[in-house]
Amino acid sequence: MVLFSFLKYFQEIFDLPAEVIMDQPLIMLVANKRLYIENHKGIALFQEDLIKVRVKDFFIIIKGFNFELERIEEDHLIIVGDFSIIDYEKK
Amino acid sequence: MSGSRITMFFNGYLLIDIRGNALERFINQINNNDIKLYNLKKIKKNHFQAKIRAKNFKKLRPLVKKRMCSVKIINKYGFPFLMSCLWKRNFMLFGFILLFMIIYLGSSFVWFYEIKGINQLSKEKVELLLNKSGIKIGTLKKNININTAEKNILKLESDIIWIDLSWKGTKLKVDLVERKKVPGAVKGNLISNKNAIISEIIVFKGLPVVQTGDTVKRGQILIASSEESKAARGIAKGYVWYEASGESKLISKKYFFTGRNKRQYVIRIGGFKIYFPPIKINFKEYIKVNSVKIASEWRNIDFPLELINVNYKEIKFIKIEQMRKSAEYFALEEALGKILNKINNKAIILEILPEKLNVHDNNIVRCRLLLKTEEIIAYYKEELGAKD
Repeated sequence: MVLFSFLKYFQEIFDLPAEVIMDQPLIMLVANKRLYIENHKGIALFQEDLIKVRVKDFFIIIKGFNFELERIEEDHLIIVGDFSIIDYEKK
Repeated sequence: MSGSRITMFFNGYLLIDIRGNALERFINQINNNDIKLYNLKKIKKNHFQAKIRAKNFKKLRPLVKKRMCSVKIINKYGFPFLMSCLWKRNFMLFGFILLFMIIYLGSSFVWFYEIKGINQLSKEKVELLLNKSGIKIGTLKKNININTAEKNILKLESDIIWIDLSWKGTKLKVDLVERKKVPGAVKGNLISNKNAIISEIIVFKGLPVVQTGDTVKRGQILIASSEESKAARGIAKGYVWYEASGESKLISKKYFFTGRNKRQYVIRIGGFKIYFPPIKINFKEYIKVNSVKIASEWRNIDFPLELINVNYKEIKFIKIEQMRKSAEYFALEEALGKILNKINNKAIILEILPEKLNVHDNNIVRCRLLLKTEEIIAYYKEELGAKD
């Protein structure tokens, strides 16, 4: 907890990107067709119309249809499909 | 697939079926073991489909063994699999290689000639000349030196004054220019082609019949042939007058388009006409523009079918008044245009005399233009029955 608050302080003072220092998720969305998530912790649920991605402290819930996991790697993943809702859920 | 689609193709990849319970967890496990999956899709409940690099497939085995899952290969894609497939079909590979060899070998020979620029020489003679200089159908292109062949042909045939050989694939293009034979002189006179006053006469051959200052008529002999020189040669220049008149109206009527148009189509089958749409033309004054489309001819069969596009354009007339001076200008311009159409383009204009003419009608301005030029008036005419 002490380390976390120190890191947060450090990041704020030097204006550093949170996704690098704090391991926070970085989400990039191209229209409603392509979603890029960095710093994920794995997939919790994978369905054709619903994907739940585990990130630090919460889940990212994506609703839509025709989902496809274009690529999954250790630190990032790319989802393609037609997105309608992107939501967050506390763990 | 990702941006490395080309590398994926060259390394080879597999389309796999993953079946079992809690597959999300299995995918996370695969990911934690640094095995990359691409284009993961859910087909049914507990049934996923994905792509994986061929070399990573074996790494899946220990993971599959631990879980209640099954992984099966559906299809193999990429260059290595394509090659192994081709390798099995020896004859197809051999056929491809043979085909490329035939195309390569075939394109290194001369197969056709294209000869341009022959009038008096025959095609066979040019081909014979080509054969003599080492170019035959079926010879290797590599063994032919175009430059030396050109020089050889020029040496062999004196009737050819220029030749150019060039390759277009397996075709040899031959462009040549033949020597022109100038016919010998025929007995004849120099004759005037206009009514004129001679301004200058220079005699090269023959006897001068007229002198400077003489008035000559069209068709009159200027330089006659003599016994020594059969054909008369020389230059004869003369003053020639041209006359033309033009007129212009002080008050004239002109029309302009109002921009209102109506279109109608007419289909004509033989003598029968169908109009559509059936419209009424309620313009006071209009111009009718027809454009006809005929059914295209096919194998000498004429279809008696025409589509006529009729365009009715509304017009309005307006009165245009112009000043007397500008009317005179337009009348003179018209007269000048008429004269310039007749004049030889090498003639030199020496004098222009405009003249107003009296007309009974007050609305019309009429002008006459007199133009004096100096030009060559002699042309050569063979004497009837003359022989070289």
